[in-house]
Amino acid sequence: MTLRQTLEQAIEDLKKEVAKMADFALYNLREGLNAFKTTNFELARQVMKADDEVDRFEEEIAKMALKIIWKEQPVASDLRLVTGILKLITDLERIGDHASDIAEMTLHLEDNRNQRVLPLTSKMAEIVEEMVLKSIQALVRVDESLAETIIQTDDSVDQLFQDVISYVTAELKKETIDPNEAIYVLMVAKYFERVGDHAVNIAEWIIFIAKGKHKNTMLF
Amino acid sequence: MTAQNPIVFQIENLNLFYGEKQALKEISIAIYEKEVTALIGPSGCGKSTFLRVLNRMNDLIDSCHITGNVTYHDQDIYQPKTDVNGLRKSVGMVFQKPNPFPMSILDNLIYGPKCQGIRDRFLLKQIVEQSLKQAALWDEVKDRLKESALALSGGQQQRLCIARTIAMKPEVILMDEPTSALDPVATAKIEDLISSLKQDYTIIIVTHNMQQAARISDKTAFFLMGELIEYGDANQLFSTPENKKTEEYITGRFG
Repeated sequence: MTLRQTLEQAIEDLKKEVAKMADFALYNLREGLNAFKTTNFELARQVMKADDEVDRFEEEIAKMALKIIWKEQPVASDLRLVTGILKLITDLERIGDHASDIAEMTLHLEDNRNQRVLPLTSKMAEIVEEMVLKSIQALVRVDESLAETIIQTDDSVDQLFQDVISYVTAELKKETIDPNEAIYVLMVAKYFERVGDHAVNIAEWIIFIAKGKHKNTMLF
Repeated sequence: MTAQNPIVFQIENLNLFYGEKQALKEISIAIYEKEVTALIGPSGCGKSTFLRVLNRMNDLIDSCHITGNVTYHDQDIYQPKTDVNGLRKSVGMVFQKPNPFPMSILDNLIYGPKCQGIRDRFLLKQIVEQSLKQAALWDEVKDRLKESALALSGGQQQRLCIARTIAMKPEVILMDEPTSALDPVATAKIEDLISSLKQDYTIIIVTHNMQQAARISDKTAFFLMGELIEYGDANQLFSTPENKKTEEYITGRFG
């Protein structure tokens, strides 16, 4: 017989809820980029509104985690999982915020746009989405080696962000991009770069969940 | 990293048998001075047996014999020449159920010192006051020292037993589930007491209460079926245990 079925069930439910939250945030991120790419104001507004749901998830998960702490007084791997989740939902919530921010940038843009910078931003978005997706998988499986790969991927995101800056700067010098558009394109790229950082933070909390270590510091 | 305290007990390859049945298997462990060491594990795992090895309480069981080394300050305590009474004076013990002698509070405390030959009334009075203060019981009983110890509450009786142990000026105090018969308030008082006593004494405690071990111990040893499975800083053992069996036991997945 497995003992502590209540605790095991509560932890399963908690993990499922975090996965749902992450799916939701990821969906918003994709739709936010879609809205930006296609200058779809309606979609942009929907994404911005959907962020409330991500915030509700954060509160709900925090409640579930706190309840496990006071009712079950978890130790060892259970304690690391519950506290790690309490920390990483902050990053998930921020990813949701940035999805909303990206959607909001759409509202500042005109229809006729410089199409040359979009592929770079899309490439960034693609890598960042993959990082977020992997972070969900790594959490569900408590897979520290997958978490490590997420951390390593971040360098390429940072590089792409630098490329976007160089590209936009060059376009500005040639006066082939509207300065207003340049600002929003750069902001969108910056938001994706930040989402990459949050995926890295999540990966670091997954390594904590696996080993009790956060960025090479034992937290216990 | 903080410097390690000096070693009080060094146990190497200890095996203990009750007749044919082996109750402890190849135990090697060091107990450090002025620390609280908690022994945890399911019933029958050998933790109380191990505790009793340390002041030779198992001598009282005929069929019990041991192999291996148990040294207390570099002295092998299982040498025939060992002064067992002297050992038990240095290594005192508090039991699961409070067991005050059926006499007054005062007599409970001076019984031991008197047996040791202390007759000086002033000295005895000093011992009584000091041990009751150290056991956080003085304020509650100072005006009723002549009353029967049996009239005290369970928690007070247990603190009296701790005071009685302290009155013998031990170096080590062994505690075998000292709070399992007490309510949460009395338990909390004993736990606070243990934490303050470690300034002066080395404490080794057997407990079934995992949270208690986590709260009060510096080091924790996990026993299972006569074996020492894992031993280390309580901080590490309760957060990132190395052994899968420890993990399963402390998270309550078996036991």
